[in-house]
Order: sequence, then structure tokens, then C-alpha cells
Amino acid sequence: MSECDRFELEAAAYAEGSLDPEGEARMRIHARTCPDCRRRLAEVEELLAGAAAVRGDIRAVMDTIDWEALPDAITAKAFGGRGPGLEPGIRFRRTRPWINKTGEYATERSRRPFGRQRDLWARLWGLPWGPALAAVLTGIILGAGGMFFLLHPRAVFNGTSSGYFVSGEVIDRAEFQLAKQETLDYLDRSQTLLLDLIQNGRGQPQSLPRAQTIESARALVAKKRYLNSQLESVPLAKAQAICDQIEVLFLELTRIGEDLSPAEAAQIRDYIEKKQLLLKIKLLRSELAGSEV
Amino acid sequence: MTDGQAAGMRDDVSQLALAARSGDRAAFRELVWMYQKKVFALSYAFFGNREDALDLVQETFLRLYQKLDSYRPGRSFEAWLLQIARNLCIDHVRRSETRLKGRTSGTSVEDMNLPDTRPAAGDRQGDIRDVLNRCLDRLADRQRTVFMMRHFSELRNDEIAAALGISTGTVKSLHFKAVRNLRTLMRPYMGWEG
Repeated sequence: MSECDRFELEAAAYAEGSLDPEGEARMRIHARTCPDCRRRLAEVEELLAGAAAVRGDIRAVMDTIDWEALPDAITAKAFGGRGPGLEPGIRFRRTRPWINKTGEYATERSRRPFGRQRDLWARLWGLPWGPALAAVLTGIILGAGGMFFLLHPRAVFNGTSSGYFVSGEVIDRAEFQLAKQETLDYLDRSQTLLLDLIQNGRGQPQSLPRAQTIESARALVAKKRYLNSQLESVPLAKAQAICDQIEVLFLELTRIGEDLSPAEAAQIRDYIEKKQLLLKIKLLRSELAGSEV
Repeated sequence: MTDGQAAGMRDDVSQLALAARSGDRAAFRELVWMYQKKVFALSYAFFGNREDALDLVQETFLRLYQKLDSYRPGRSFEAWLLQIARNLCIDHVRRSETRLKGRTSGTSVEDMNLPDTRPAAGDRQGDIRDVLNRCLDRLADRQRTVFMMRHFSELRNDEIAAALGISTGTVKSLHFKAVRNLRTLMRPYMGWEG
């Protein structure tokens, strides 16, 4: 590496003053003798001055937040109670449907914009002809019920039970079984992709085209999001931890996209090997496949 | 901070996390108080506006509260928390596509009517800020994120590495590439000779 290359590599650190004394002296001496690097340094200094100006803006924004009140508000929401009054500067917006007004943290499945419908009913009910509307609706419901029993006599309880009964335990076991199958499917597909990525990281030709690899990673990220809700409700903590590690990798892969450089491919391979993801998948799969349900 | 002090602080944070896990409200509040600014700074790097970043701070700590059961005392609490925040940021960005709207006006750098000659000294900083913001949008995602985390959110390399799940070497490399590419992108608008 030439002295100019090294200078460029360390120019930002030099401009920030974060080099050790020896490195700083080396940079100073080189800048004195090399006009090109002096110009580069001036550009980097100006660029970092721009970044410092933006940083100043952010600090100004942070100064508008009451950092003493925020922890109380968040703690109150987390513990489900009513928090202290918030000052205007840190009022939480209500546009986020997954934090409801009582502070309850809604699950993915329960994020439904029912609020607007409730508002509509409340408005209709508040009108002067509300009682008349109630009478009409009651009539319709009773009439519909009567017609149903008249036209479908078999629907009326005939005194004999169907005998069909599902206990909570059976439902729990079914949920566990479903989560297990979904996890096994996720692990299978992840294993295939990870093997391909390891191959690529070693400079060997991939079995899948690059675009297909990224697409598979995206599909697995989406699948993991679905899996999260299932893993949270069943005792599969180990599976969740391993799937989380795999998810981190796939998220990185989707962020990098198709222009994956050889160095990045090698880093991905290192990550897979360092975390022993393939071994963990193998052990987890055999554990899940052998577990009694 | 010495290594001993850092280790002591890590132990304290672990104790707080364990206490919060067993329902200690004050311990949870303490954790929020300690890390709220870091989470805000990280979120601000993703969204570039105050309201989204504040929402994310709230969401991150609520998610933390849900996940405290899976906290293992041996691991870095800060890295774990920043990873939760970062994952939520990514989910949020994908969902809403509001990223950077507050930070930029939506005008591309090519469309900007910037002077060819150097303006008066007083206006120079404002121009750099504007050009920098717009050129950042043209960087690859990871380079932009690392640059913003480092310079706007004032996170250390090891904090960025923990949040992004990459090595500090990769953080340094991405930062170098970001600075080099920004210089190239900004050159025509800043009057740099090249």
C-alpha cells in the first residue's frame, strides 16, 4: 500500500483527531509533502464539517425532548398502568395502531383498524333516531333468527349432543405441533440457502443464481416474521434463538442485494461458520423431529 | 472508562435487567433512562425525523419488556437492545417507506440548482449540509447507515457493529467507502477540484 493510499484510508480518522500520536505525525508529514493528499484532506474536513452541522441539528432536536419524563411514560405503558402526564414535546402519536390507549402492546394479528368502525357506530347511536334504529335492528335480528329455525329444523337442538369436545390441552398441543412443523420447514429451507452461501463464500460457483438467492432470503425473512408469532406462544425458546440468528444473516443479505462482493460473501461464510449455524440447524432438526407431541 | 469500570457497569446493567424481568418497575425505568438517548440516536439515523424516532424508542422498550425473559446475563445488554431497535427500524422502514422523508425535501441532487462558484462563507455550511443529506441518499444502504450512525447518532464503532450484527472491521471498511463515495458525489457541487 502506498503512502497516499494509507493517507486516504486514514484521512477521516486524522481529520477527527482519533489517530494515535505516531499515526498523526505520519499523516502530518505526508500532507506537508503531497499536494494531492492535502487537497483530499481538505475535502474530508469539509465533508465532516457538514456532518457536524447535521449532528448539531440532531442535538437541537434532542434538546426538545424531556428525557426525564420519557422513562416514566414508557414504564407506565410497559407495566400496563396509567402513566404520568406527558409534556407536549413528547406526546405519543396515536397513528401507531399497535400501541393502544390503555398501553397494551398489541400482537401482530390483533393490529386491525377497528377504531374507525367503532367511531361510526358511536356517531349513528348518538343521533336522535337512535332508538328507532335500535328497534329496527332488533326486529331484523329476531326475524332472521326465526326464519333460520323455521327453514332449517335440523339446526334446532334435538336433545342429543354431538359429543364433539376439544380441550384446551389438545388445542395447545395442536399449536405446538403446527409451530414445530413451521420451524422445521424454515430450518430446511434455511439450510439449503446457507449451504449455497458457504459455497459462494469459498469462491465456488453457486447452485442458485444470485437473484434467486436474494429472493429466497427475502421469502425466509417473511416466513420468519410469521414464525415469530407462533414461536412466542409455544415453549420453543431454543428454536427461536437459532432462528433469530439465521434471520439476522438473511436480513443482511437482503440489505446488500445482488451486488454482493466476494469480500462480503466471505464475511457471510465466516458468520455462518462462526455461529455454527449448520450444526445448530442439524441438532435442532433432529431434536424437533424426535420430540414427543 | 477503565476496563474494571466497564465490567462493573455491565454487571450493574445485568442486575437491572434481571430485576426488571422479575417485575421491578424502578429497574425497568432505570434501563429506559440509561439507554433512551442511544436508541433515539439510532432510530434518528434510520428515519431522520423526531416523531418516528420517538415512536421507535417507545416500541423498542416495550419489545424489550416482552423479551426480558430471554435475556441472558452473560451477553451485552446494550448490543442486545440496539439489535432489537435496529430490527424494529428495518421493519418499520419496510412497512411505511417514510424513511428519510423528514431529512430530505425529495429533490434529487441532480435537480438542485447549486452554484458553481463558492458562495459566501456564511452560506457555505448550510450548503454542505444540504448537499451531504442528498448525497447520502445515493450511497448503498449499509454505507449510509454506518455513516449516519457514526456521525449523526454519535455511536462508537463497536456499538454500530453490535447493532448491525457485523464486525468492527466491516464497520470501518463501510465507513471508509462511505466517505470516499461521498467525496466523489459531492465534488461537482462543492467546487472541489477532484
